[in-house]
Amino acid sequence: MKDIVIIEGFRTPYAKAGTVLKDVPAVDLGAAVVKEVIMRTGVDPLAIDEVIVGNAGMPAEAANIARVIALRAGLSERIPAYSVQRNCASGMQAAASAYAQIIAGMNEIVLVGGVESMSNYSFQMTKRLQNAITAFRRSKTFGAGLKAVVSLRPRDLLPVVGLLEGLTDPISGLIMGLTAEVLVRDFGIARREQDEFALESHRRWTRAFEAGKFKNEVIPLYVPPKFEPLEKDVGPRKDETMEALEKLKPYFDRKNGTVTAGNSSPVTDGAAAALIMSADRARELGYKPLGYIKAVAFAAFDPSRMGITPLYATHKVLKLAGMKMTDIELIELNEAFAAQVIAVERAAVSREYFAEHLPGEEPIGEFRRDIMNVNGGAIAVGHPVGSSGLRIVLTLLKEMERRGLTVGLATMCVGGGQGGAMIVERR
Amino acid sequence: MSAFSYVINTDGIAVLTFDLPGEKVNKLTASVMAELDALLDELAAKKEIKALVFRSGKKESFIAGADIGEIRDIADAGKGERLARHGQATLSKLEALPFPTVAAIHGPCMGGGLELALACTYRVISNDQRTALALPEVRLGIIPGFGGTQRLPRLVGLANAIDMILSGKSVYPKQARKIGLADEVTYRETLLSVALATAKKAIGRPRPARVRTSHPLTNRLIEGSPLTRPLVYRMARKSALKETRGNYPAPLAALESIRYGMAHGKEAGYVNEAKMIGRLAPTEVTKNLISVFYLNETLKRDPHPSHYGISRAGVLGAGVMGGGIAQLLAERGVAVRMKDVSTKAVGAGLKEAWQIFSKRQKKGILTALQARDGFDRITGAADYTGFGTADLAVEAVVEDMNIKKNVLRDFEAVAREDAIFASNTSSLSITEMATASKRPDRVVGMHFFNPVERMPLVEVVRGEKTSDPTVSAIATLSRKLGKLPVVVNDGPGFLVNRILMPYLGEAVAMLEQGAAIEEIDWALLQFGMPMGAFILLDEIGIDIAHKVSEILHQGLGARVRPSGLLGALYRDGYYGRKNGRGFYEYQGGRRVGPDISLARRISAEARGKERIGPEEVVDRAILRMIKEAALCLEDKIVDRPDLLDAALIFGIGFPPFRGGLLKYADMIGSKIIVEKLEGNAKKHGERFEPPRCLVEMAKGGKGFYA
Repeated sequence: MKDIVIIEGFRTPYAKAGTVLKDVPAVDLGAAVVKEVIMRTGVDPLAIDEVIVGNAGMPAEAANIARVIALRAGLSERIPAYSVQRNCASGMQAAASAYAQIIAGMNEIVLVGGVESMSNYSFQMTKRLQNAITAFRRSKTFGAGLKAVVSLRPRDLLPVVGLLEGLTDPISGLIMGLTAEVLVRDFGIARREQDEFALESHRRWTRAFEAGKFKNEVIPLYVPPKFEPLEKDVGPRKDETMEALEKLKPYFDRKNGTVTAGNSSPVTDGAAAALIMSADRARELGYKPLGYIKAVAFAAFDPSRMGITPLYATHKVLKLAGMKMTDIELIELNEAFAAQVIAVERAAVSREYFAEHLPGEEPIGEFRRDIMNVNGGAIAVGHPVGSSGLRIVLTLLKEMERRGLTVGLATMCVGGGQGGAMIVERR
Repeated sequence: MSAFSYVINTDGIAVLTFDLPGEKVNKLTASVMAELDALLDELAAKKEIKALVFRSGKKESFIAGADIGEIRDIADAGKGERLARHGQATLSKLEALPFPTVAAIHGPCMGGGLELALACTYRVISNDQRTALALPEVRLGIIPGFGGTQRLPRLVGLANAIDMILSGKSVYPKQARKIGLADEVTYRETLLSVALATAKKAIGRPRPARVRTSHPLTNRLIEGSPLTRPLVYRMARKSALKETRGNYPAPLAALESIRYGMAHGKEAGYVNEAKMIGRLAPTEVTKNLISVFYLNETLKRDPHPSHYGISRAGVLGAGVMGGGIAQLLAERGVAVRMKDVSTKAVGAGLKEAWQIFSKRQKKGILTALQARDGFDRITGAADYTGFGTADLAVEAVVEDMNIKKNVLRDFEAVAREDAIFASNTSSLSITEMATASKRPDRVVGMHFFNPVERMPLVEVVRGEKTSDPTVSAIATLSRKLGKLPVVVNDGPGFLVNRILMPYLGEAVAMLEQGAAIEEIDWALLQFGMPMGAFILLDEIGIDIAHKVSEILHQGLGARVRPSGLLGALYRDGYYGRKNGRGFYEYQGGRRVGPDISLARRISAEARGKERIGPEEVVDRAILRMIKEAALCLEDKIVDRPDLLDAALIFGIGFPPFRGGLLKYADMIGSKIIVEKLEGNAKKHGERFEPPRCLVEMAKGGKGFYA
């Protein structure tokens, strides 16, 4: 099989939704980081065979957001582009699709991205309001028009918030935070455990930031109309404390819950992009790759327990790679919710869990905290859903480079009950 | 060979094609007009013709206008008037044809071309970007003379007509439809078929009533009433006077022609219009404006088109200049990587470029999408990433030779072997800068003028080792950017600043002598300069002006010694508009009036004592320029007086109606120039000493041009 390499990749600063990037559409975030990847790798833009961009929210004004980003980034109109949507793993899916296409011989050089502007999820109108407007437009008489208007009730005029719709699983009817509460009950996870995990995420991000680790990962963003460079994530709290976290009310299940805004990842705006090609092509062009994609897998499970899915995906990807958990030297497990990460940790070493859900399989083994999310995770830096899957791969590879490690795992849960996992290597 | 041909189709519609043999564009020369006149008689007699479509045989243009050469050659009023009367008669014949006529317009439709279209019953135009309609005659010092000042107001209303004719500016398809100048707008591919359909529909119908457009009711009310109409004229007159300062008679004449025709009827209006052509055409102003028109044409034409493609450029330095240059390149399709030392500085440069794009969008020069796409082409960096693929780097960092040399070395370390390094220095030696280069043949000056967006000139500076292909590449690029390049040889201040600085220096000297800032500036404005010397100094920046004058002083010696006041102000932190402290006072970025505190700096005995009259102000400032210009020619900075004149007109806005600095000097005469210089030298010292080349020119009774 062909070797597939990630040459280089970057991300924009991640910013909590509704803050500094609230007026920057997903397309603009994507175009900015794609341009930087082209500039910083020096790749001949005409040599790119395909652009694949992952995005969960799929803005109405850019139905195939990959094509729009490619053209706005100045790529030739001769280069095709498509978008992929696997909810929270859309960015990882973009890399996976590139990997598969190159192996299949369809393409040699693919530019991938993962973008999300959760600030720009649209507000929609209620179905009743929509019906009334349609009826009014079609009405031929004044009376008919009037009837359409008076049929409306005040609540019909309230907007339907796209963000909430998007974060609610349509099968189980649970909003994501409530799927985390299901795991809390399944595994008996304490509030305090979750808060401690969240605190550690902020601390690790702060240490990494202060050590300048994100300098070769995050590109500066210049936001109109002021154009002051944005070079730092907006969201992580340097001075986060247990006291502050403990004070927060459960957000999703106000009465019995434990999942709070503090131990969940915030909704966030951000984008990442990377250049992927066959190892042969990289050699020809004289690139020293950031890393190799060893294997990638997606797995699925109960939508109401979507947070546990990294377990399933990791199980599958280890098999594909012919590796064991003990071969993994560094892990990025996306922190959608602290509870969900803890659930994965517990299930990974639980004979009972495997016996019940993966009969005949051995527990995969420990997700060691000392090698997992060493620079903090989505609870601190945020989770722009379509982007995170690519971010964790890049973050992982750049830390492996710093530490001189060779095998890493990036894995994440996906709304709807799916999980994604990728094993990368540095040679 | 004939310029016109026609066929009659089965519907009885004649399609008349105008295709001037041997020319790229159609022009309404005297012989073309005569041919058309005869042809119209022939067409009028043909019973089978039920309608007519008039179109151009040129692919990309309709009619460029009258033959400017013929206008230039009008020596007396009678000839000008006759030319106009003949043209009017022909177009009246066109208007009076016994069947409806449709002009099918794609591409530029200018001057006489639009007047011809106005004489047709209908106008169908293409929605192509190239399609533009205008009566630009005032820009050449005359007015539309083929009935344009009569027909246009009757078609599009008084306010729209005054706006078009007095400014000479182009109207584009969308607006043309809106004001009723075009009856139909369609794709260029369907232009002929729509024109034919329009003609067919018009057969047997009465002429459409005018004015039947959608201009606002208030306009119609004000223009329609004989009581309020004078108000419209008065307002137009006031704003024209303010803009021309009485130096350009054409806009006022055009206004009068419109007014006369509206008051006394079309026929009387034609007679009056032709009289005005006779009066305006032979004047010095017209001849000068026409010569400037030709200068523009000369510079636009590329004598050595370069094949070195420039699609990716780096801009080094993200200041106001860097931002402006990046914007210009990006708007014209070049991908730009802009670098500065910090991301903060990069952000400022991006903001500068973004603001220019927004401004141009607001003005309607660019659509929102064009502005967005243009800005998308610019990326910023605080390092040299992305410069390895650049075809060109334009350097716009601070005016410091060592810093520029370092930037040049840094660029070459990452750049392609064949990449060009162009410096936007205003005065530092290109030859000296190139000593830092491994490839001095690829180092060149590309001096833009501030504001980049508005000033058409680019000085392309050839250093000692700069190669011809490098010079051509930059000259070709400049034209692609819509600029006018003048190639000059390296030397202190190159061409334009070398001549400009003595002029500004003289203004400061007069201030030191006790003359008032506003009086000096007023005199220079009256002369026709686009802005006063002190306003210009504040705009350039007193720090920059000081630096440039030091460089000139070092390179050229005592005759350009800068005045003490400029240096003193610089040392005291007066940098001009950029820091709000200059010769003028600024409040919230707006100029409010001369800084009266400067008076303290002027020696007590001089203060207020010496009054320098406006004529002397102009004389002294312009004489210094003429002297330096003569020396530039002698030093072979440029080798032709017309290029020198063009550089000053397009670079610093030397008044076009004067035809250029050396044209102006020739008009005065070299003998008088030398006498004036000698007189001033006695009073004010060696800076006025006439150079030998001028003295000899005067002795030989010669001028700069002949």
